[in-house]
Amino acid sequence: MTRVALLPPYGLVQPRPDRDSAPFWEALRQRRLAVQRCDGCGAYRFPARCICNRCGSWATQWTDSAGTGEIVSYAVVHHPLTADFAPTVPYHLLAVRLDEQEDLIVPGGLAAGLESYVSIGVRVRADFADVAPGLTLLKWRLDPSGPDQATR
Amino acid sequence: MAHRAMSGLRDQTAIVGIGYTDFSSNSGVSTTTLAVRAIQNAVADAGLSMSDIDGLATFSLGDSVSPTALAPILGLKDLNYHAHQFGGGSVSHTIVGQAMMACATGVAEYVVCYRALNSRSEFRMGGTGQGAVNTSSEMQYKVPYGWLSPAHDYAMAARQHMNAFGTTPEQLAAVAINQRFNASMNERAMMRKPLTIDEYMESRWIVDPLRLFDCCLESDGACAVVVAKAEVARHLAQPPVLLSAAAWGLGHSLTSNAWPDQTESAAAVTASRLFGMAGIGAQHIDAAELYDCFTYSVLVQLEDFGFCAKGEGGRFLESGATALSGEIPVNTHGGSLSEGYIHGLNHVCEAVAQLRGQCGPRQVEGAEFALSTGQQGVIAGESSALILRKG
Repeated sequence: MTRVALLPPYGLVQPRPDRDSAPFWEALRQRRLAVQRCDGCGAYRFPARCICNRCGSWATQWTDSAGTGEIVSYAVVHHPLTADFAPTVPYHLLAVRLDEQEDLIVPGGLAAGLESYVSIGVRVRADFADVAPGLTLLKWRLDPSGPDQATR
Repeated sequence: MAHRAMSGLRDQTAIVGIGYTDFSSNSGVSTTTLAVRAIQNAVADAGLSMSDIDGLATFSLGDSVSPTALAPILGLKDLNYHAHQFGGGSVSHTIVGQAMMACATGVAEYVVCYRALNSRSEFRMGGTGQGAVNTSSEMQYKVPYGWLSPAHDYAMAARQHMNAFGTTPEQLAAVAINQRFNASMNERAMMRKPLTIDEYMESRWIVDPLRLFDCCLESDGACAVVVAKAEVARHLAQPPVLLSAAAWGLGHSLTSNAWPDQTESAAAVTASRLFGMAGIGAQHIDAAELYDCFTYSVLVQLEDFGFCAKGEGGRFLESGATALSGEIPVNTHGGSLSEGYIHGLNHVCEAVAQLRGQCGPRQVEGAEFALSTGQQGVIAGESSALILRKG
């Protein structure tokens, strides 16, 4: 089946960045996967929040993730809920755990052509796709690093 | 985390009236009209007058009439208690538990808890084609990928469970087939024709691994219940049904401060509080009306409420244990999958009807305790549940 490229206007499902999350979306536009790191205790957190959920500190920095991780789970959407996605079904949704921390799990999409490689535990690395003016999204690709990857 | 058992409130209150509207795919009326109909029915069922009501509580996603707007319509000038929770199934039982608190403390005498929605003909849980229901600031990270609805969250969770425990599509199908069979004995149910495994397997994919028949109905309709102190229940029109326990919880999200292992649901947190308050165990439950936004939700709750071990939910379902004739009848009304989707409040009504002995061909004989539960749509650690007891 020919996959139709996801086209603008992307009008119906634009993300709504807020004052806490704006740096995340700006970093994506610069092809960086950025997460917050607490200056109080060093814990990472995602999504963007004003304080650290572990120690309560307000002191934080945005830092770039290495952009590697493993698939925690996935789903394949067949029934489009909005007009934006009607041309692209079926499409994959991924939940990826970043290597930096156990509970750092990020939603994202899958780079084209990798559907048959998706499985829980597969290692992936972040890539970026400009899908609309001002909107860059995560597209995960396979990552050959990691102890078990040679057997996949 | 401290578990406060609230056992002092056990059996102090009762549900004294239940009311329904018809369930359909197009009510043709407003949510206000639906709410009024259900509430009038519940108040009449209790043998009360509308002027007796001094509390109103509901939950919604901004898709329904609020207690503030409803009170003057019902002619209620002076409410002692009102509440409007933002959310769906996850808080469906929270509002009843909080009404329990209002009545037990004497803040209010008769509290109506209602849910009215036109979730097929008006505001649908997929956001009526306009994108996700904006339930939290975390939605922004999902929606641009087309990760829009509870079905997507639950598909992710089901996939983890299948991967970890070998849960199969046939085991998910068992939920849907069992409940459709129960619905065939329920005149209120929207879907009454028995479902076969072939029909299930041939039904279209919504979001793999969830097919059409893994997903609950979208319904227009309303339910209402009336909560009061236990001692007045005996003087009203129906056999009393006591609230033995209520529990609710939140705090996790899909991400950090998170619950990354979705093979355990939010029910795992509320279950111990719930059984602790009631002073009973899962083995005492005679009927379980488990929130069934999706078949997977039922499967995982069977594990998390302790009816079977973690990972064994699929095998438990296949054994017939959840049939009307089994050791723990589940969703005796057909549930959200087959009776109708009133966001969990119809589960409370069914639990009450079972304990009153009013369920006719789908009656669980000798039922003394019933469990009724709510779970979230967008998976964020919220759930709520009640244990009801024949008075």
